[in-house]
Amino acid sequence: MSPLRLCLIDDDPAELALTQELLRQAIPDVDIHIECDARLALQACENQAFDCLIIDYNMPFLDGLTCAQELRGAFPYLPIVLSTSFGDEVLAANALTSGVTDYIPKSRMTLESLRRAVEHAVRVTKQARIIDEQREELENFAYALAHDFKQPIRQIRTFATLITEAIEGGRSSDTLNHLAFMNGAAKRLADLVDVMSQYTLLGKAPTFEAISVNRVLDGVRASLAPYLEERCGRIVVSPAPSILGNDAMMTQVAQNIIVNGLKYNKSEAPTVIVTSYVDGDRCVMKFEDNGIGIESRYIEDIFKPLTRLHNSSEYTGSGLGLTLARKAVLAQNGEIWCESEPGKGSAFLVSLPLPPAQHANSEETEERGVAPLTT
Amino acid sequence: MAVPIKVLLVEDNEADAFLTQETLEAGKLHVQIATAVDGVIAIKHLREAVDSPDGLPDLVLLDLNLPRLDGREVLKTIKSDPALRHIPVVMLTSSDSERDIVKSYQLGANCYVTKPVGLESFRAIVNSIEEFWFTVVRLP
Repeated sequence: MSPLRLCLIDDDPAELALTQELLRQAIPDVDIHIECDARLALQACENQAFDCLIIDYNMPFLDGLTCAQELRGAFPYLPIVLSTSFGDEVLAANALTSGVTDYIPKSRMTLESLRRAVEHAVRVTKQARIIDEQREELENFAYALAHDFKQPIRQIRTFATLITEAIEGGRSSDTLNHLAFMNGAAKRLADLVDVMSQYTLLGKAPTFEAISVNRVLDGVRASLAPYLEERCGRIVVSPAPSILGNDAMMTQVAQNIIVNGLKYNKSEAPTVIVTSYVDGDRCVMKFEDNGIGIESRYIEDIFKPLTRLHNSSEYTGSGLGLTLARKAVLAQNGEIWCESEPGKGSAFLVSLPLPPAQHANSEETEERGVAPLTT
Repeated sequence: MAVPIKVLLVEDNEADAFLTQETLEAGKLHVQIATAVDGVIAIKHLREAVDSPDGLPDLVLLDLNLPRLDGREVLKTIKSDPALRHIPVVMLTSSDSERDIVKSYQLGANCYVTKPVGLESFRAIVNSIEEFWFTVVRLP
């Protein structure tokens, strides 16, 4: 685990030294950067990413509160703790509405109070960031979904009217075509409703347990058996470690990635090869396909809701499979990314935590110079 | 025979492209419709049309959410290209979101039309596009 990176800003050398010493005792693994002038704080934060800023209020040239307000504008998710002298508590309380995450009176600065202030600031800021990201994600999803719901609803009504007119007018040559369009629109609606309910379920707090990746992949292979037969496809799986995750979510991740790999594929034998390796306290799964590949400029877009890189007559799809996969991975404290080249297939990498016992085991075996165990 | 009005319809959904095309062709004016199923194909079509004997379209009907290159990027490309920017672009989309409307006009759309739910309303909208834009286009 990397040390906590703190930036300490105070013009008084004695206060600076005292606070620095307290921080080193309060937080075992810490890197402290010091500035004596608040005017240099912005540059310092631009040069280096800090986990938390501790800034004195009473400083010449630029006071700590004004500095905190400027920093908040540039770094909305930087935890900032304002340290105040006795008598400034009222001002400090107002500072909480002005961009400061927490404050600590110098008169009450102890090892414990300093540690708690820093931890609280980091935790609160992290939660605020998560809430903002989730809200933005939900807004984007709702916007995309609303648009995509309107289209099939409109088409069903329009083609129903066309068919009615044709029947009333004694013309039927285009009726079958119109009915096919209606059917397609209704199917699209049904797919969107399914996806919406899956998305909603992913928003609930999951329970985590040690999951056998191989068991999950065997289940996915079994559920996709008809599709594999239809496409002459294959799923090849190497032995994999267990992960700490949620069974239903992991199944959805694997299924959505594998289906994508088989669908966007012009090969006579669409294949997805799944391999895994241990990286520290994580298991990284690699899903490699021999599909059509993705241009680099779209690599980030593929995880956005309802983003499609191909028109629906070429490849059908909700445009939400990878969005849901990403949401499920993030909900399990994981990461997902894609490496791809047009014409050369894609590799989706999913990194998830190892169960604690397995992580301890892998650390021990690495220390002994032995390759990590896989189950 | 009257010279046909050339329309480039940029629409990825087959059903919507069919409906729009049928409605345009059933209108009063003689139209010649080319379709592009995504933004990349649309821009390619326009760039090739610059030097072709048939010339550029008289009007572009542009959907917003397209694969590969979405409608906003297509619009931006058209309106920033000296050879293309004079072509009227009418956004024809399911979206009635204010941010889409504002953004489209900011990018230079000449008109923004939300596809209505009912067929009669859709016909009325397409006919009004024909009457206004094709007449304007044809003014000396």
